Amino acid sequence: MSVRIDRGDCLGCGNCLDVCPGDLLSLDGDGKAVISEPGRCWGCCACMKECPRGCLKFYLSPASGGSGLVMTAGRVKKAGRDPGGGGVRWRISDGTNVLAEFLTRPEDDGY
Amino acid sequence: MKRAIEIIRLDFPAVVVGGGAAGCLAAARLAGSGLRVGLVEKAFLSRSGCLAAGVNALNACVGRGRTPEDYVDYALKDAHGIARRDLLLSMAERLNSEVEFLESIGLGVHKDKEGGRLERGWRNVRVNGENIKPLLAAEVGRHENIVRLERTFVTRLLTDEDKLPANGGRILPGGGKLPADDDKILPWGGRLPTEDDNFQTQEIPSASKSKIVGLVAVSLERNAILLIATERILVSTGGAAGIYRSKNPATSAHDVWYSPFNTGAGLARGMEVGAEMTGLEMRFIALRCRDTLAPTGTLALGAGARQTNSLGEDYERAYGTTTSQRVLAVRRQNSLGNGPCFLSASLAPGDRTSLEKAYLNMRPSQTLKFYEQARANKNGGGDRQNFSGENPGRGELKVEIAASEPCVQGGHTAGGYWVDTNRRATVGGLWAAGDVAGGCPQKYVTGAMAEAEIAAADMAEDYRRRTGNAAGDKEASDSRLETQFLKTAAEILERMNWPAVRPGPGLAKKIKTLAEAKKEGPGRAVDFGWAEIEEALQETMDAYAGGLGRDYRYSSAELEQAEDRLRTIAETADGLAAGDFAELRRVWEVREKILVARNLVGHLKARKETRWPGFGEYADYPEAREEFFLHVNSRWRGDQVEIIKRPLVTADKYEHVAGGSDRDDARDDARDGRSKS
Repeated sequence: MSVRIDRGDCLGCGNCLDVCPGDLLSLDGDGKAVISEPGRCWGCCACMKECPRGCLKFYLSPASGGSGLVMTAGRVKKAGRDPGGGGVRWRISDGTNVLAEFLTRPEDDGY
Repeated sequence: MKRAIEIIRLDFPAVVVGGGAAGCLAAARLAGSGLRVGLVEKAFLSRSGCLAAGVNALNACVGRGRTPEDYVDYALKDAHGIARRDLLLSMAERLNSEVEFLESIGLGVHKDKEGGRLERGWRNVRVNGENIKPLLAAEVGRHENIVRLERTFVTRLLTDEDKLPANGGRILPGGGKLPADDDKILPWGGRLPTEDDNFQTQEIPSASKSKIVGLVAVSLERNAILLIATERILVSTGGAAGIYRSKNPATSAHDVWYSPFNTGAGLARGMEVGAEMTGLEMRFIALRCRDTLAPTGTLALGAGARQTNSLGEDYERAYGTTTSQRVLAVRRQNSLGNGPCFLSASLAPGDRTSLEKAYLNMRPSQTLKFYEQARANKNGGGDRQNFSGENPGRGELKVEIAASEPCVQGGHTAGGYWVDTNRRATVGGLWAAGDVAGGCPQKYVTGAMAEAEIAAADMAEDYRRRTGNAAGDKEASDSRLETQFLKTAAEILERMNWPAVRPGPGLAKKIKTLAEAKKEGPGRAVDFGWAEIEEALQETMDAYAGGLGRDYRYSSAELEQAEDRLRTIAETADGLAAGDFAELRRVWEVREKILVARNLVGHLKARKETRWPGFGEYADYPEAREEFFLHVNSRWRGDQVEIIKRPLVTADKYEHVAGGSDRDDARDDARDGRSKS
């Protein structure tokens, strides 16, 4: 499992760099985010949540049953709240159609 | 041209190594006690550690109508008797206050109708913890006297002894006779330890006379080598993943369940200075959702899912209910030809959305997997009302489960530092908390935090006691430390082929002069990279030390083969060089993993029984044996592991036993200005 980065959309803001628990992300010569060793990604999706353009996409490798669906995520900002207090908006898509959308928030009900 | 490497000298009353949940909280508590703290983290505090993706439940708390003693009993039973009562009790007493603390800093804790915490079984509370790590990192940010050293890894701990502690532990013949009558029968037929089992009168030295004086670290952020003087270090780095081969090594080296960035660094640093370790042989094998390695507790406890085999049989109870037995159940069913095994439940659509969100809060890949699965099922297509395509109203949930590759850690199982009740390791000035600390299984997030609080309080107390009691020969020890610093810097720079350093060539010359004469190593016509060494390590452990590929079975002959191969691999790894600090970090990581693996093999060999059949089976000793009702501990001495068998600790308090002759102790105490407790 790993993330794929849409270089074309990347603004080079570097938000994703400072959250990777494996310190795997950096900016290349063109100022675009790159993942140095995709095989070492743990799939925590922290980087995706900080991307303002949703250009980091998570996928499952074929060996893990992946057939090409991707997941993106974006942090919902909420003024005056602690980190992440606004929640995260998630989207699962097959590239053409959005299959599911979720908003996960600290105050949600659930399991 | 490459930027010159800076050499920076720092001083702290206390240093915390590893900025996960335990490390962040310990740093905040130490800073709150007025100490200036250096917090060393390999990546970034905001997400590093096991909680990167978040959590959807706090798995360690004491529910309504229960007591900390209940938690101790549960954890002891789950560990088939091999755990420390004092550690479990001191942790269990603090679990609920950690839950309250997390709630106070903004963690979303589910409430029931009466406004109480929503419990999931008596040990779990449900939370929306996607942001748990950023919340803990924000705690660090509230303290100005914490110096954050991010993108920094520790290469060596320094003690006031160049050599390893001289006084070795004696090997106990067996664990003593156990009283026959006991009603506390364990699921596997053994019994729980009692006060009578405490043979503390047999004094085996454990407290080493060596003391921490500092550490050396490499900062990628500053492109610098940090020489840090400190008398107090808390190791809170987590356990060791990646020492065994994972399921899909070709496509993903880190397709593992435990944080792959926990490379055993904290364990290795302690081993290098002779700190005693315990329970490494109690490897943790996790029961996970196949393909994503997502935790199964969310399904079992949250959705009430049951384990079923391909025949639709609910087989789980036949094997018992400890963590190890649950893993065993799946393995046995698979080897009987009854696999694949699933967690199955029937869910209403609303519950399904909740479940998908629960995984997004902890292991997002599993939510994506639900959709991949639906697409793969012909009937289901992309229809999210349906898991398996059988029942459009109520979704049949069926998730294949499998056991993970083994790892070493003290959060679920009990492998790690041998500590006293205050979480002091056996080397003076060294503490351990969280997954890197042994003897205290089932600690999870809140237990790791409890340990951090206990250690931080003791460190602050130690600081108060020792300041104003300044050593008379401070200058002499300073110059000695300076030499140690530069020698250790040389160890790093040599691997990088002596790059330029700042400040200036004077320092470079001094370092080069102090560099140890190069050991005569074996000749090598080919230079290997760290990735090849890692592959060799994982292959060896998988094949000869009970890995996934061997269904966790091992024999004496195989373990000996593992020892031999690991020795060669370690020698080859000694020759690894690096072009920059990022590569050096990988070189250090693979060497850490090898050292942990070598110690682990020593432990597996020493426990001549099969105590936790789900976690590993010793072919030569397929049953649990009464004489192994003890702690298997070890110290790394030079180039081999020394095994120390200690009686089970069953009292509420445990202190290290001072070693060496009385005369030496008296002299040391006078020199340290420290009184013997």
